[in-house]
Amino acid sequence: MFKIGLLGNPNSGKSSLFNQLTGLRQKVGNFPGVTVDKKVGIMQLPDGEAITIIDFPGTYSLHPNSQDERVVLNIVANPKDENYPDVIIYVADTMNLEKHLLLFTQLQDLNFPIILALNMSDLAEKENLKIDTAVLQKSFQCPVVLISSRTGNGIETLKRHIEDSKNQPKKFQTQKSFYTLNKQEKEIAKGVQSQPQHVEQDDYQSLLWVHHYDNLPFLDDSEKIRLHDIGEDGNYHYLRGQINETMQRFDKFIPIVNRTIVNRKVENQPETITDKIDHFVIHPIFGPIIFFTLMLLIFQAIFTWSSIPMDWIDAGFGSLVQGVKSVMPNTWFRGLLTDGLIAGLGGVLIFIPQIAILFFLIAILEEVGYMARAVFMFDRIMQKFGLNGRSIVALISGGACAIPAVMSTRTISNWKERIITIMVTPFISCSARIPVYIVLIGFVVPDVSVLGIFNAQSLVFMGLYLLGIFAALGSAFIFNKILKTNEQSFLMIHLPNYRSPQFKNIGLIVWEKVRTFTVEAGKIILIISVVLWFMASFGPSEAMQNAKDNALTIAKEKQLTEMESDDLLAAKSIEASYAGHLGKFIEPAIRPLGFDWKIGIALITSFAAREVFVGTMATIYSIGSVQDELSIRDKMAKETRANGKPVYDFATALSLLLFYVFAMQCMSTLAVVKRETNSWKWPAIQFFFMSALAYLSSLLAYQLLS
Amino acid sequence: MVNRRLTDLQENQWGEIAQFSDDAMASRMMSMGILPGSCICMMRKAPMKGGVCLKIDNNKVALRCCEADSILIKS
Repeated sequence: MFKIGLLGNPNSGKSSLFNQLTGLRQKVGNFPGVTVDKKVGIMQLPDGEAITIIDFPGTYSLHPNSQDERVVLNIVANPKDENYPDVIIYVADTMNLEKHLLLFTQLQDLNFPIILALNMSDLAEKENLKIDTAVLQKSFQCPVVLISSRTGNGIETLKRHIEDSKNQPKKFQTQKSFYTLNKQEKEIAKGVQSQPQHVEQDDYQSLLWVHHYDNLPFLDDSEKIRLHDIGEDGNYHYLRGQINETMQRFDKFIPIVNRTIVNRKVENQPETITDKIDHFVIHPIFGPIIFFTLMLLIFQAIFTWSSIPMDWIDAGFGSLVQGVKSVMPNTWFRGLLTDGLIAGLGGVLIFIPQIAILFFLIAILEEVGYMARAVFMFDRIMQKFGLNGRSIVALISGGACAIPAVMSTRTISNWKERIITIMVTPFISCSARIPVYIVLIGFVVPDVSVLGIFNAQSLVFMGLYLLGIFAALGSAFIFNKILKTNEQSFLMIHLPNYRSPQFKNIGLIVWEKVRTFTVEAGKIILIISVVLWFMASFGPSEAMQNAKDNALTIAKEKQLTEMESDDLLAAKSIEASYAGHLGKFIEPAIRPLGFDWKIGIALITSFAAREVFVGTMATIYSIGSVQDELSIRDKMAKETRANGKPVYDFATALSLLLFYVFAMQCMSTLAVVKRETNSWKWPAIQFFFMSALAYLSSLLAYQLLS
Repeated sequence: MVNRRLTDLQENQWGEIAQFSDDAMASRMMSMGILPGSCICMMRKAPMKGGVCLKIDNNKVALRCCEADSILIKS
């Protein structure tokens, strides 16, 4: 299918244009081998034909400084690439045209048919800028369209140009190179083209190959050596050459821009509205205050707004299970359906309100231009831990749920900083740990006040959160020492002018994130739920039968009600099941932490999601109502060891709490980490690292305290 | 004349970029449109060698202190 590439600098409004052109007919994947977002959409031309549009990552120059930019170079410098566009729409910000044309002239020198789209024409109009597109058209020999991706102005004209370019691509190519190669560079280009089996190649592309051969995986080793030698023999000075090229291009197109926009205010205006807002927003004292207030509000919103839809989902799945149970006979298949598949699906969907709200609010902050400021303010502190200013977003989001937090790290372009952020984010106490904390905290400290004002339990609660933050930063520090990268870390970000958010873009972002989560993480969660269900419901048949008989005998002896005997049966069955066997199997390993096999089962089932702990405890200690955390606590308090001492004493409860603070017990997060890092290596490292830390700290706590 | 470092500027002070002291930084900054000859205003210096916020041709850019250090301005 005919492919259009959408290219431009970051902040050119490229993604808004992409949304305008494709609407919901888009999907996000990765470029092969890297985790750089590849957004592909389908667009209908006026003549009815459908064509593909690829939204490339925002790029400043073909001399790459980030993963994103390398991806772009790799595709546009390789005509054989499957994503190599037939025509390029180059999006530039009209208000900053003199900064946005570097990449444009580079792409023109690669002989692409190009349409130059001057975005934000609505703002230019407001500022009364006079834009003479004819000057640009003549100078660059390509069609120039004024558009506004916010209002939709000019989009129809743009579509007609796309149609033209499809029919006569030649008409959209320039004949002469914008950049004039010096003698040395011409020699080098000639050297590249001298190869006998050489495909036709223009000078600038040849030069890029020599310059960046190491970053071009489509070249084979012998070709790389050849290009290396050509550069060496030609005495090519890579960095200097790059600077000279950039300078020459700017020197050439700035006069053109000056002729295009005649009444532009070149001198810096004294103080814009953005400056006035920034006066407070990035103030050394007010800035962080504003930031933490905003984060608190987001946090609050996630908890309060999401609780209602979460209750709906919970109740919906509850009644679905009841419905299935009432119409189907009690067979293993019903169990698979209700306790495996439906429960698993509910476990996926329950997170959607939180994810949607979090991304909605973060997308608003991003759209209005606030995020870049937060990144600027926290970059310094984050750097000390091998993180990036942008990591602050993920770490804060992790307080609600690690899943959207991990997904939000895509904005971190440095590979190492992004990996570290992903690895440490799950240490931040998420909302799923709260029910576990609530159940166990009573065994650690009594509900008394300290110093007359603080509640002892709330202090421990806060301590657990701090412990999570501490673990996240501490392990970031360690990862920073271990991981190596050649990629230089940069901050260098534009702080865009503040503007009102566009809800169409935000809606698409939220929709995209929710869809990705449901499909990608959902698949894995469902599979593991079914496995867990199987392990908890089945066991060696003899043991299961014995457990059943045993439960019935006790029930008859004690004259239990129907509900009580069902609970007892459930408790005895889980003990005899494979999960019970597994719990007993791991008991020797967890005994030094103060845990028995029952806690072992809870640890195993908690792997589905931490809050499952409470439900498992309820099953094991045979309590009918899972909702009532207090009655579970009463039952747990009565539980004794062989020597008559309570199981849940101070040491065991604290050890268990520490385990839940540190351990990686969330398969959804692991699934998302796998997706985001494109490999099983990172989730595996994360799992073992976090589990080891959990094990050791629990061990230490229990051995010292018991 | 000796060039000063950009980071020597006080907040709200203007300067004109003379050159860069580091080629790798230079190429990166130039691709973002920070060029020799541009007028630059120090908008905000974060305390303790944190980042700096600059205004250049009505664009705002945030840099790390070490990045900003490579920009030399005419004195």
